[in-house]
Amino acid sequence: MEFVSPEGLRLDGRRPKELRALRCQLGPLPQADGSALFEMGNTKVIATVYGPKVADNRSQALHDRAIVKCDYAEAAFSTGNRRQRRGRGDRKTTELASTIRSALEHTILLDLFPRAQIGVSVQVLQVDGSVLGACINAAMLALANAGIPLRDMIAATTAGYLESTPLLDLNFLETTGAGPEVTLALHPNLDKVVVLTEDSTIAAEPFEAVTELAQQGCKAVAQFMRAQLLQHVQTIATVRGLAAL
Amino acid sequence: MTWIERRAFRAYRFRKQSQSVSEAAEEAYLRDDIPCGSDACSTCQNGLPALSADAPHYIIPDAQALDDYLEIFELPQLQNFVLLTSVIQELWRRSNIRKSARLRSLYRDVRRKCTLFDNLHYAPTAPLPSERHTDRKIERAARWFFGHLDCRIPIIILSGSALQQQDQQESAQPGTSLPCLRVDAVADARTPSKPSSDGDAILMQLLKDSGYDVDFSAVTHPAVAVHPEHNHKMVEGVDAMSSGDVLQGALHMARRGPTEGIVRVGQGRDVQEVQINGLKALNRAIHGDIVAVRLLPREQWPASAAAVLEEDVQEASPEDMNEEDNGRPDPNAKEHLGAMNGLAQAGTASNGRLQPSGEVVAIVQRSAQDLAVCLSQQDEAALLSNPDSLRSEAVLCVPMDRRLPLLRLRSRQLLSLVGQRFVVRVDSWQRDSRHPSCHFVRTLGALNDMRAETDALLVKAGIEWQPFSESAMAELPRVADPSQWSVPEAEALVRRDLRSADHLICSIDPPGCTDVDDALSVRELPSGDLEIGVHIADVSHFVQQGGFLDGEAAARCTTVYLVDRRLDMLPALLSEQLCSLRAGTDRLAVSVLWTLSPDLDVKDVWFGRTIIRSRYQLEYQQAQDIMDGRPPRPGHDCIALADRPRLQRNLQVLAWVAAHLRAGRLQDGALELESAELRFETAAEGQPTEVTGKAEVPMMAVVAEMMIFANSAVARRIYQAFPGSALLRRHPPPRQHAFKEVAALCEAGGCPLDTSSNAALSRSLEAAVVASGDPAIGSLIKSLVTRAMSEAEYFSSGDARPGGGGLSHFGLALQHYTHFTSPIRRYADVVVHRQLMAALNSPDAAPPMRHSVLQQATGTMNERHRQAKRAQRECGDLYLLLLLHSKPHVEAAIVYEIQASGVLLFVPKYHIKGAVQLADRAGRPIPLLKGGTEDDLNDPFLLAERQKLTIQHGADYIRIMDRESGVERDRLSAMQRVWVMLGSDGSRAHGPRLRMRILSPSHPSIPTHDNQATDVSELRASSTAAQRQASAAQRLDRKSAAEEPTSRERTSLAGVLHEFGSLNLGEEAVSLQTSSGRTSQEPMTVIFQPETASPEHQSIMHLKEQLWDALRRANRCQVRMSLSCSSAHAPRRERRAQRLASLTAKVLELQNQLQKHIVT
Repeated sequence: MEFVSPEGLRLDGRRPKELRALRCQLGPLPQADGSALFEMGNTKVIATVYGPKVADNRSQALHDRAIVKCDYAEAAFSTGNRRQRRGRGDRKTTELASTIRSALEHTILLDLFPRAQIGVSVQVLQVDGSVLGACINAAMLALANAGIPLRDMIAATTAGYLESTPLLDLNFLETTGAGPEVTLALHPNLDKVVVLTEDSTIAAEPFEAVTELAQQGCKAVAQFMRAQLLQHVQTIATVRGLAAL
Repeated sequence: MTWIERRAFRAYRFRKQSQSVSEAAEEAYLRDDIPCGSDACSTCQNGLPALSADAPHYIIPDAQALDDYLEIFELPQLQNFVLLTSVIQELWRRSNIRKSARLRSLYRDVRRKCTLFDNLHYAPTAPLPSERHTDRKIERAARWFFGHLDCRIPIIILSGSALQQQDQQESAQPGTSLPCLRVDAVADARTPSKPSSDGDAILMQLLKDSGYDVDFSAVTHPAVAVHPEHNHKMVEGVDAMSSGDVLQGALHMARRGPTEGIVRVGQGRDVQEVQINGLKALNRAIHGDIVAVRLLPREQWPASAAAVLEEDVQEASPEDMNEEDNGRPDPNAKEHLGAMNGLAQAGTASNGRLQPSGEVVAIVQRSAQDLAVCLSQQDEAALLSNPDSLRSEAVLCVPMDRRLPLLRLRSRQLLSLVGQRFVVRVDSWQRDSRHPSCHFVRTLGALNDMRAETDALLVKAGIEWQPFSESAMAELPRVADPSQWSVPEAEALVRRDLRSADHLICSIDPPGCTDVDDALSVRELPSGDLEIGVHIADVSHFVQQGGFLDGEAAARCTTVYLVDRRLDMLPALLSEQLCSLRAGTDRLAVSVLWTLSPDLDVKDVWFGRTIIRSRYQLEYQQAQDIMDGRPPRPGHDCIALADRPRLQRNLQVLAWVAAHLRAGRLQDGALELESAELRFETAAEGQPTEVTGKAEVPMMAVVAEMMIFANSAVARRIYQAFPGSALLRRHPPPRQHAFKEVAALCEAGGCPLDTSSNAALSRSLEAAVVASGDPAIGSLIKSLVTRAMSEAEYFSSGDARPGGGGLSHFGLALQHYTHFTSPIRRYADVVVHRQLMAALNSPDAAPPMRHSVLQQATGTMNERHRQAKRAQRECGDLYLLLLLHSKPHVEAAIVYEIQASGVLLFVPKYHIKGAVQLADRAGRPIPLLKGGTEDDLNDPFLLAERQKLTIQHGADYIRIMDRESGVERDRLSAMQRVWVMLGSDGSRAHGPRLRMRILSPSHPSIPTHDNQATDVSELRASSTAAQRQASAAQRLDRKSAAEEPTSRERTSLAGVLHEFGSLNLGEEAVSLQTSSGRTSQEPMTVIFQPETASPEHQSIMHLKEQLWDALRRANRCQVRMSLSCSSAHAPRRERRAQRLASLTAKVLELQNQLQKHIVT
């Protein structure tokens, strides 16, 4: 099975530098402080935010800033075959959760909420590659939906290197190929990389090209999210009567 | 341009492993920027490859058609077809890795004018979700194509399955005529007589109609392999087995290839061979399996000669004959004997006997061996062309051994096996599969890496070597340094102490030897008797029976000596230090002390445990020098001056005793056979750079003889103590029919072989060798006789059959024999030590091992020895072939057998026998090489030349002649001496193979006459040269029967002898004084005054006498031989023997020189 045809087309018809279809929904769960559903192609992730509120655990609260608690879960129906539920304490789960948490800690203006706690819960509904990227994006939108002040937007995407071609936004089949998978999250306006993780091994020369591609992808995702947020706000303002139709 | 639409759908896939259908959510991104790929189109921007603009039509095959007729699509003449991505993806899912690689090469090859079109993602042709699993997508694509090209070029769909009816109706729409070709439809419409399954014919018809002209004769469909069932009931049923219908035996495959084999049924005398021909009859049996066969009816037995498997039969080697000839192999050298690959089998003449033929009915036991394999080249190319796939692929592995079939291996990590040699184990062979399946065990290394290749040889020989276990190492004596070990007090009390200065004990071994396990001593008793001692390292003291170390040693059974390394039986602390009888240190030993009368009759023999301190550790050459009284060479001068005379005397006594013993054995019929020992010089990476033969030092024979003496004494002793369970070694008499080849050769030479008893064989062999007159032919005869010998084996004496197959050793002519003298490197010797000790301790002791246990143990020992020999031999072959590969050598050879289209040659220098084909596969003759190292056999000009030649052969000649003119180009006759170019080439999978080209006499590389004298074979011109000389002299004798010898003759002889004045024969100088009588009455005296003396072979002595006779008769003069020995210290009683035994080396050279003068 070839990942890139001689024509330059991938398995699902995209070219190497194209993102998948992005869709998002803001505020699907009204009882949470903020929530968002984010889809990258077939990968669907829902994120909810509870906070800022008084820390549940007094001993964990910090006196000068808020703490971020992050929860990651994969639904049992998220992959093709129904698989066993991964326990909460599973290594992969905790690692992903801590990655997301540290990304958000860099993004949120925590100093504004001392002794508070912001809880982010991410649940993956369908897996089709690029899961971490979708989680971070969903979390970001949920935070925006909750109205929590952020330093900058954060956008994430995945890039890989198969058949000597850097590919953007891998789907599940491409992830199972023997190539590396680089997830990159950055602040598009500050132009700062927040998260850079890598699976498998990659040689030094293609690494540059792959991260460069990932950064451009992130910027495109950020653009999409910004447009969605603006549209959402526009809708609310119109309903409220604050803005003209 | 980016994608314009996204479609999400559920994709269903059939998983073969779990036999279930899985579904997954997938998406397709449609776009409109995909070029059509045709040069006829002006709008799209096409890259290469592109369909040509003037093609009569474009073909679009569907998955079934592409799968079935892939070979047709690969033909270069078929061009201008469009492969759709949907079709390719469908095929990928159900193909193995080779087919995927072929598909990929179809559309990537620029020359082919075949394009890959992504119909799944091109917006106009993308299928709707309901159409995804139907054939409509192909139709859609075809329709779009047609429309896109403005209906100029017709599109043909090749479909193996029926298209739906409605499509055909739609295709009738005006303006969109879309011819759709169904393979069966064509059959019905055009050629109703042809069966519809004959797809090839239909396609051929189609293409012919379109104007293509293709030859389809090469296209074949692979047949599905279905093997017959294994019927175990037939084997288990008692009636079947006992009625003789179903026989059981081990399968040996022919070297030629894995389609013919022989099953040996029965044991010992009544061995029957059943031939199995063809894959169907083999029924999934692999070389080495134990199978049940059923004989086919007599009419189906083939009349051709059986595939002879002489090399597969357990081969004897000269090591078995000359048991202790060289003690142990030189650490750097190896023993080398044997037919190389490629020996033509048709040599054994078919007597017209029908060979029983059968078929395999069931496999009783699969041989569970590890096999060294590598990936086939086709699969490697396929793997490398798609390195990113993590799919589990099945590939074919090629075993190093040509007798084994290809094996199928399934794995996800095959990429790491590219270019490597690795080990697999066979799992099973299913009925519907063409190849057995196997699983991966471990990697050995890269191909052609010396270490990996040697490891592969070990795997092939079945030797598994692991480091010693911790528990075994824990049983060793705890000493930080070997020098700290001393004789325990308990031992000092019970052992006889031979450390006094009275006993001068020394060991004689090859240079660089670290594991010394034997030492010799000589003592003159005041009574006039001689005490000869053989002291063997006491390994049984360190290795307790039943311990871990014992277990490990028993598992290994022997030390394996390869060219680059040595696999020890015992840990180095024992083998090189504590057991090894090094000079100057106290060591524990088991000694055999004989008391001999002055006439060398054995008066008494004493066995027991001793403590010794070896005085000197000598090398063979060093000992030889000392015995001859020569000054020591550099590096050998560690002997104290005071000891030298005594040492010299002792060595001379030993030599005398050894000569006496040997004479006795020869009289009883012992066989003296040769083996070529080759030593390799290696470069830094281990590549061999140089090969040299080893020179024979007479001291080797002395040591060997003493070891044989000790072994036979111990054998008698333990047999006396435990007649039912003593570990002995026997050598059964050879099989009569194995002598066919040699017998023919000797008969042609005029001296038939008498194989009735070993004495008769020995005598007739000597006579034949001598009669042949050529040392190389003598070497050949001995080599062939060696091959005919059966194998010597260990056995428990409870096995002896009263009728035959008794205890004796045929080759050594001894009634009882065992292995006792090398316990450091052989486990059998350790067992014999224990038996000896048990026998000595009390007269009616229980044997340390019961007969049943011992029987099993000897089976293991024999097997391990066989494996070790095989590994050693193949390692030597490998190194020799690698050396020949880098540097082709020109060597002398003898033609010894003529066949239909080739000859069999023997190269004396390396003891190689090989076949040279004088005609290639197509029957064109290959003439002898006229110049250069190799001519390209496929060169068209040479081919044209060779077409004009033809081969003719007779009983003892073969010649290549010009077809029309009848002029003879080259001629080879039996026993002819030729020069060959030895090289090697070989496949990467099977390792190097010997290649011989016979050189034409005018070839520039042939050494000239001067160089011939230094030929190694000339150095062996011992008895044969003498005989030649004698026969020449006899001829002269007959010529001048009645004449008085003229003074010219006498002066010529005298002149020759005078020339000899002072002659340097190697290291020995002879001074000659001649006084030639001027008249016939005066005797001519020749005085030989050797400065040193050296014992020589008994038979040479006889021939020396004959020489003198001949000289005397030829010259009518009395030649008196008077000699004076310079060794004033030699005891009187030895001088006579010494005189008789000396001089022969001098006679060698003298004969050579005389021959030139007297005959010419």
